[in-house]
Amino acid sequence: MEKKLYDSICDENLFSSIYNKYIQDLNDFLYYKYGSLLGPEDKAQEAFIQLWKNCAKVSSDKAKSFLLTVANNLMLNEVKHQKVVLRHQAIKTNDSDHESPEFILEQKQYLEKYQKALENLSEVQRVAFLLNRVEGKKHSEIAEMLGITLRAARKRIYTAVENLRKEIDGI
Amino acid sequence: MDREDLLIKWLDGELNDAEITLFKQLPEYESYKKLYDNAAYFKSPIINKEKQYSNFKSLIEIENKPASKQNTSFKFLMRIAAVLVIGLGLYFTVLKEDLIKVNTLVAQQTNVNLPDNSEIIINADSKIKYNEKDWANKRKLNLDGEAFFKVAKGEKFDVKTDLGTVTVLGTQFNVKQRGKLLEVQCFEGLVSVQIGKSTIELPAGHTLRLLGNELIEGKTNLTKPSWVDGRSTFEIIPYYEVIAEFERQFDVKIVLSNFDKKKIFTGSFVNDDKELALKSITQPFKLSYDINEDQIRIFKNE
Repeated sequence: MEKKLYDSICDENLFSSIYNKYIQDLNDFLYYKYGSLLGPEDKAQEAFIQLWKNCAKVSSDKAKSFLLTVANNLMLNEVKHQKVVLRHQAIKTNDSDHESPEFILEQKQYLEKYQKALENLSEVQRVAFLLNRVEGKKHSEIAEMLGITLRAARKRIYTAVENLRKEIDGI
Repeated sequence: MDREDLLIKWLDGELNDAEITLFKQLPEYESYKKLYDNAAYFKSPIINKEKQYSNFKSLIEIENKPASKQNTSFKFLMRIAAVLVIGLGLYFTVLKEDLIKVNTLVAQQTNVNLPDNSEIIINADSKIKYNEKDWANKRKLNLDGEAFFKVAKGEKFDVKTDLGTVTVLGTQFNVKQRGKLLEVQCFEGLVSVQIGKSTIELPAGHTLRLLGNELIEGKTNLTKPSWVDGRSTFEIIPYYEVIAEFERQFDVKIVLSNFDKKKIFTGSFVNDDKELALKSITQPFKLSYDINEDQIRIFKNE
């Protein structure tokens, strides 16, 4: 492979491929960390605008960490004291009649507790846990994305699970 | 394996069958399983990438595209440079036949492809000169200024400067010769530098600097010189050299008053933002500056 002397993401094709590659990840990260109230989509968009403005200075392999850092800073500017709110999706009511009303009620209560417990986790634990569980990312991918060691990522995920379990089961 | 290890491996999907059986026997298993299964309810919204991207594009148009403006002016410059190179090339092939000279003006960079597919990027205010017809036999060129070379494999390749000759086989390296300063950075392969009667071999990742009679060897982690990416970098360089580079990059005149110009400077400045660049070279010494069109005065506040 020829090494390129210029490696610029100012090229629109390259930029749009970077956009498509990272927009969902960036959004997930912001949503899980700060919840839905602070407009994660807008912040993700704004981070890409910053990337575009700085395209001459950021190489393609640094683009992802640039985006995560900028988006995170944008969020921090806005966070102040707002509480994180994650909305759980409406529970699908199963049409088949073998699920008793008790089960449905129980499930609803469980999710409410679950949501509360998630909101009470620290930001870093919540991000790591949800990226793993919901987005199905491997621990190594999460470590890379957050710029931490594999050990640290595992520690966060493990602690998150234990904290959730303790709070939900009321141990 | 204890509970923590089992849980972590299970979360990462790494448990084998035996370990899964073990894991399922844990008293906490049911509660883990329930957490695991229900997490999906908290999924973040899925982004409609196409819609979001077109939205993004309209946003950057509103933002007046500062980056792409710079881009088009760069493209425009490149066009001028290309016309210049082609014009010069034609002129010399038709009239002078074989001797090729390429000059860059201040605040300009240009790309040159040699007959053997070697590439040169020439920094501002620099000159190269080589014989095109004879290139196949003798890869030799003269340089006055600064250039980054990406040399195709082959016979030896000579870069002659007033202060010494740099010789390579096939590699990537940067040569900077300004006044009494000669700086060679080798990024790939092996470079040999001849200064007077002595010869120094420079492996990849090593740098060499000759200033006056002083010879300093150093190291670099870069894969190409920073100016190719629009940034001028200095390491342990007298301040007047920094000022001179600044003048070349921005086409301005700098007057330094009330300050020792031989002070040693380590740092860098960007080549596309004059104000920012000025700040980066004045703040480390707590200097002030004022700009009067193309004349800049840098001075020390008493």
